[in-house]
Amino acid sequence: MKTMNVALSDGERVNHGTPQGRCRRLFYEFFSNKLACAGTAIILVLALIAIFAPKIAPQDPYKLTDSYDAGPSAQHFLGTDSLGRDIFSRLIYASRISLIVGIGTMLISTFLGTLLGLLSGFLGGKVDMVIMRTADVFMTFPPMIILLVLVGIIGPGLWKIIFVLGILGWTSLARVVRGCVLSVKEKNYIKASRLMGISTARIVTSHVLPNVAGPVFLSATSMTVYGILSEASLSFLGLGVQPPVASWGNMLTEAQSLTVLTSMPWVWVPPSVLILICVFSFNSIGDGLRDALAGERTSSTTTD
Amino acid sequence: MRNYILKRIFTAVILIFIITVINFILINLAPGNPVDAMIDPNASQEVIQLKKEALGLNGPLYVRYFKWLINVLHGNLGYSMTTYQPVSQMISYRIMPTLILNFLSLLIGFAIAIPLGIASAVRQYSKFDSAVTSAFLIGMSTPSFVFALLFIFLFSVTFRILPSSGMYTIGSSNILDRIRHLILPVVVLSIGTASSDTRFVRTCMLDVLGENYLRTARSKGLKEFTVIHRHAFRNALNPIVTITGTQVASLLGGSVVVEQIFSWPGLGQLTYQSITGRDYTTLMAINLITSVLVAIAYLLTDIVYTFIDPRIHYE
Amino acid sequence: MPEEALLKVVNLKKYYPIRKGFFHKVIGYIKAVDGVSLEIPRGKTLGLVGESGCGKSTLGYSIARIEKPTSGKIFFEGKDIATCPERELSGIRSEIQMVFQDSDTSLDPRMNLAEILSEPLRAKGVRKDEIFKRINQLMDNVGLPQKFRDKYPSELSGGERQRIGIARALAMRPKLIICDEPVSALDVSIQAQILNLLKDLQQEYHLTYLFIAHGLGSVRYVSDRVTVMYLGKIVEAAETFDLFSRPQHPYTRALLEAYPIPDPTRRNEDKMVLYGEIPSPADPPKGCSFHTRCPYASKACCSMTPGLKGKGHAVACFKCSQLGGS
Repeated sequence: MKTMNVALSDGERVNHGTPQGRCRRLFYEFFSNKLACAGTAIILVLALIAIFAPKIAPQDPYKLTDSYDAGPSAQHFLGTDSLGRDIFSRLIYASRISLIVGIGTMLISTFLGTLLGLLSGFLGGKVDMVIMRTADVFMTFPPMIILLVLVGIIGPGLWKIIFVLGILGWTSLARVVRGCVLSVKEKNYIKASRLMGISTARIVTSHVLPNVAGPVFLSATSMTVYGILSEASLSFLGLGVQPPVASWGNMLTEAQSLTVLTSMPWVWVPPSVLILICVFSFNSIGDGLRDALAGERTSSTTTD
Repeated sequence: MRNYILKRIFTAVILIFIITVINFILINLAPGNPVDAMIDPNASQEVIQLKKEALGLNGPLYVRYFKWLINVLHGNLGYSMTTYQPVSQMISYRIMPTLILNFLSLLIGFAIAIPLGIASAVRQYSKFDSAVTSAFLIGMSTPSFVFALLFIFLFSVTFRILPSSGMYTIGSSNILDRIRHLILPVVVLSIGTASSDTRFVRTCMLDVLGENYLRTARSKGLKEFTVIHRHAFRNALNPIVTITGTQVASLLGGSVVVEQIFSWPGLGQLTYQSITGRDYTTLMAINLITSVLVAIAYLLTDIVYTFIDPRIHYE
Repeated sequence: MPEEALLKVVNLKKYYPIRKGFFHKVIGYIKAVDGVSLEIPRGKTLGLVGESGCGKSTLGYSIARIEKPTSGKIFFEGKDIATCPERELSGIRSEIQMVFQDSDTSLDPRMNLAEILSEPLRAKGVRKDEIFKRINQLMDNVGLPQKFRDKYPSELSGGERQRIGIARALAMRPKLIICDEPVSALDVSIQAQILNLLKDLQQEYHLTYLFIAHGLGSVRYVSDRVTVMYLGKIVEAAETFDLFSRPQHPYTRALLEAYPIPDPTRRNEDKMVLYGEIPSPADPPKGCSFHTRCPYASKACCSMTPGLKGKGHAVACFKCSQLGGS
């Protein structure tokens, strides 16, 4: 049954068996998905716009002028709002808000969710019970209502919103991570690693986290989406980011009046389209991630 | 099985208890005097004074909690800071409209999601599948109020065929009028539910379609339709039903923005008005009632599952 | 000159507490391993057979210290490792390895073969530039082509996956390998290949095996000595040839006779049929744990527990001297 020693040709990729090989493969799969590529590109463009907003925006987004509700012109590409501020510039600066909220919410809820899920799964017992019951409590509060209650108590504002959204969003990820940990804990390959004398911490990083990484990244994209959409809704209602700070959501508040809605489409169509593009891109990235990760699990027909 | 149900009820009671405690803490954190809020402002001065003492204005926190809890259990949720009406009354008028809205959108969402999800999973990689997934991806990526604005623009203003606010036209009480008012808000909400539900059904079906027992079913000579619907879908149903259970919470809370735009007299609109009007009593009461209702709904769905899922049945 | 055994297990017990009620009170124990003693000399293979649920896997895990035994002693190269704390085991860890039953859970599906094999090598401290060569060598040892380095377990057949499991165990250069049902999930022809591989490796690297299985054919093929387990206890232990030609314990005889014999002329008339189900290890029968299913059970068997008696061929049964031979 022994094969002969085959000398490796120079063309073969030398694989030291590191996890980096797997990352490379995942990247490849991800970028062959067209929508995911487009999504990533769009987000990068938006990020650049957000970072270089002062250089790109033609006007000061806070400056009040005398021409209220003016239509598009050479000076104001998308016209002005009811206080005479340039809509185009506000649109550009608002990209910062959405991206900051999205990423902020994602970071907080992903960190909390992963940490609590790992603790819950590994420590089990009382810790598990406490964490899961807390998650139950969080999940029983209807989403928008609890959000409004917390905003009602602590007041609106960019960082407060991010904080509230972050601490409301960890529950589903914690559940998923915990489930992953529980299913991985008893597997034979974990026993094999213990036999090699590998510490629990190393086992977590090399076996558990890669199995958990999929749902974590997926949840990261949905948390970003959740953050951006929630901020948009809150700001639209006047309870999120407040003017004069520009946010795509609060730029749409004016559209509640029928006059604006019917005769001034330049006020509400651009922010709507931008929200759509931004969220759509994050969702596509999430889909691409999910497909790339699911591809690993599919087994080809085995031959014996 | 009875043990399981009893255990679930016990857990639900503890959950509700914790919710009331959290709610009480939130009430005390909010601006305004929580004790004052519980007393009918229309009563005479002496009565107010008596009630204030009875509610333990000076007592330690846990005493105040119990007195508040007893009040709540008697139906006294406080008095609105803006309208001076009993909050429980205000809420009871508003629950039905919200439930109608959300329940219909949940229903329509599934009515769309199930056939389309199955169809696009079966035809994976086809143009149909791409069209469906992209369309619903857009549906999921757009905030509900954008659709609301769009539809109002199209149907109320431009085409003038559908009303854009309220639940009914004043003076009219026929069903058709009610339905006309329902259409836009329900459609807007349904887009959201249909989009995420369709994608979820599709994912579940895709997971199931590769399984071996389908090969067996086909080799038995069953028609493809039967294979897909009787066998594949039945098994995909399990995670779908689980997800539906968790959507219970959104039955009461998911429509705040839509209600506000369409002036729909539901809980969502009341919540918004409470915040802008700084009416914290009403706000907290809404929070309390909705959470408790959701907890009870979760309990009921769990109990229903014990009858459906044979694995729990035989424990 | 009798060499000291590589592994000597003395009266090993592993009990799992059963908890019930709101406060998780302990109301009983599952006696998975109930006083097992065995010895394996260096370079030999000890087979361990028994029905599912008799505790053989638990015994394997206890010896490898994946589980901590409740009581008893495990002498590995003279040192007792049964109850010492985890940190004292670090030196032993590379000496005792396991090969598991081929299933979805033996290999991390998210790692390719090279990654799977580099994990033990890195744990052992092998230098980075050495790892590549060692992986090649291991794959050669188990008969897998080099080009499989980048493959994932899901792309391999059952036999190939089992080879990787063996390579992984070999990577630590162990002295003792505990094989827990290594071939039970494979086709018979592949079983033969894997068993031969194990035997070849044993010769080449002077390995010692504890071979746990419920398939008699494979146990017979690889083992020098065989022990039979029932409900956490050893009921018979003998050299392979002795056990299979002259089984003494009624349970062993029933097991062997249940094994189909192709040659019609060699079939026995008085087949022993085992009735009933294996009792629960949480509530084992009093006295001899086999008496509920034993056709020869007497009053004594119901009240007193027979000990393992005999040197080369040991049996735990009161009736055995009467049934002929010792």
